[in-house]
Amino acid sequence: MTTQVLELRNVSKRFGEHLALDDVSFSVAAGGIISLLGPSGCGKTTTLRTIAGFETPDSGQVLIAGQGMVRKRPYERNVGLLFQDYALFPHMTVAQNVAYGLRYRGVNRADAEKRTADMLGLVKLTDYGARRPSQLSGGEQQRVALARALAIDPKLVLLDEPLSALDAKLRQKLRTELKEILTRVGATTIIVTHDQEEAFGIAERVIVMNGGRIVQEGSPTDIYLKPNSRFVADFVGRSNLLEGCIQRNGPAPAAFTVAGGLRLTVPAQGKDRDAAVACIRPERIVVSEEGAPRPPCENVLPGIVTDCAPLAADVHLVVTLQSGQRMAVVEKNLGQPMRAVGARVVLCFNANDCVIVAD
Amino acid sequence: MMRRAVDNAWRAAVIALLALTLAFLIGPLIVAIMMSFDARGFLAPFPPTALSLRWYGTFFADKSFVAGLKMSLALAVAATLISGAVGTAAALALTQYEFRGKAFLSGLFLSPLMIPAVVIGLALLIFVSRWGIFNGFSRLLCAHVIVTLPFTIRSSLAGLAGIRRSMVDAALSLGANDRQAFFDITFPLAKTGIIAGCVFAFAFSLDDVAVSLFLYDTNSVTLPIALVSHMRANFDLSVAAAATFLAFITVLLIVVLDRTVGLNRVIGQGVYR
Repeated sequence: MTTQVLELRNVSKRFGEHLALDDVSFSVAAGGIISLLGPSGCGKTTTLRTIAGFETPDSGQVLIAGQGMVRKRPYERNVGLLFQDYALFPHMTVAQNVAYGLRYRGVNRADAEKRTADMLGLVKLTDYGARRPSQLSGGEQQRVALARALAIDPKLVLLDEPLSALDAKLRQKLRTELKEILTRVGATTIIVTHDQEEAFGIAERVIVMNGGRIVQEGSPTDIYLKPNSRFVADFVGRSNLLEGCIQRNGPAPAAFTVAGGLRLTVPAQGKDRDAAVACIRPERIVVSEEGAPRPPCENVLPGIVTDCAPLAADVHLVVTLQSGQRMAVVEKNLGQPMRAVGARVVLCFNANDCVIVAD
Repeated sequence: MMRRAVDNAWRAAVIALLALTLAFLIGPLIVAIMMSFDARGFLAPFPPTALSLRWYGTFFADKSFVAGLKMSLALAVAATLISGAVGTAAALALTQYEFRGKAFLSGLFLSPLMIPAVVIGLALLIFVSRWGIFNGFSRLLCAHVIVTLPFTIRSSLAGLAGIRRSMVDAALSLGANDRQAFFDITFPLAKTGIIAGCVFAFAFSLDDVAVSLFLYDTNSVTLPIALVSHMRANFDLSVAAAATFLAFITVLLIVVLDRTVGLNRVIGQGVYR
């Protein structure tokens, strides 16, 4: 007896010369919310379309509730889809849109009306049933599309870039709402997105894809703090990536030599590596003025401020090191005087603030 | 100052051109309509001195005209139905599927618009003779379907263009099969475009002379052909009455459509938003 609602086993798909999905396997447990995260063309949309039944994989299996789905048509899968453009039917009212999926499920009229009203209540659009989709705002349309997808009581809900069409303020608000609704109905959900805020803000597990493959899978915190490759370190969040090699290894912190003669102390590594990348998140670096007292730390790098941009809550600095590298640093904007361009500063961080990934 | 003066002159020129175009389009129509109500029994100078329906009486009393009108209406209805169905199917295939030779095929479907009617008529005459189609109505139907296809295809394409693939996908994911998704989503949204194409096809078929001239026989004389031969023999105002009556049929059709599906949508953008 399996508790996996969805399971993909070694799914591959080729479009002409282009390998869109390369041996993709993952599973989602009942009630789980996971996210497929990756840049455009990474295969995440093909994965979604394969699960929904709009693409047939060349090889591999798609199981929903333990049942093979590869040969099933979309309408035989009971999968709720929220499209990026919402795909509301413009010639139907909001209520007709929400009730559409009940038409072909043998639901009688009274039950369908009740279900529709419940769903509109769930997305807080109770009085909107008689309106046309074109009379609604983007956020309202999105909620109607969600209500329509949930009305059929799907085994699995697929969200395709659910918030990308909305402006930044609204996105934040709807992200919280979306998470609440999905949690309340206990829907097993897959969110496909290129936007890490969308992925990290809603999903409890994130699968990072690139070039048709899964490159890393883990909790949002793990993905951010322990990227397993240069691609993930670069794609997720901002980071300073320094190429170099590991010279000494053992139980003690290792030495990492960056091209240009810069040496860093990094966490202990299992083996020597000629080509590796040290990844340091901008917010892990402490900046202090040259000569001023500074916290004790294992890496102390003097440099000159080349840019200082106060972006609302954070101040983004670019510091050029003596060895030539440019480092991005983020400080909280707590009302301190802005650092002057050209000021001499010292960057401090510990070995544990660095993550070493293969180049 | 100079630039503004040039701008004003330009605008005045555009308006004048528009007015001139309108005058040339509507002027002759008004003259024909007014003359058709002329009470004088001979071809007299414009404007009529008194009004009557005598030329309409002459028109409807003429057996060849009435037979022609019946033939034209039957032909237009049949051609429109076939052309509408084939045009919609072709437009669906052109929008929904990717296949080799798609651009060529869509060019081919629209080509009757660019080929002179005389060439089509002659080519069809040779073709139908080879194939042994000697029935006049069948020959005319063939021809009218071919020449009206560009209208129904183009208009259906415009109607289908407003339908995003994701809408049909949404219907499928909600439990509709392909046929149900077509009748629930695709057809209602493309309906106005399809009907607009049919209106054009009907109007075109109703007054075609050039192509029909090659293909008619004594049992299948259409009204426009009857009018042309009547005009050659004796030119009187029953021709104006016939023209006015044809225009009336078209206007009536448009008014009925306005009541049923909305004129703006049919004649206007056609694309459902």
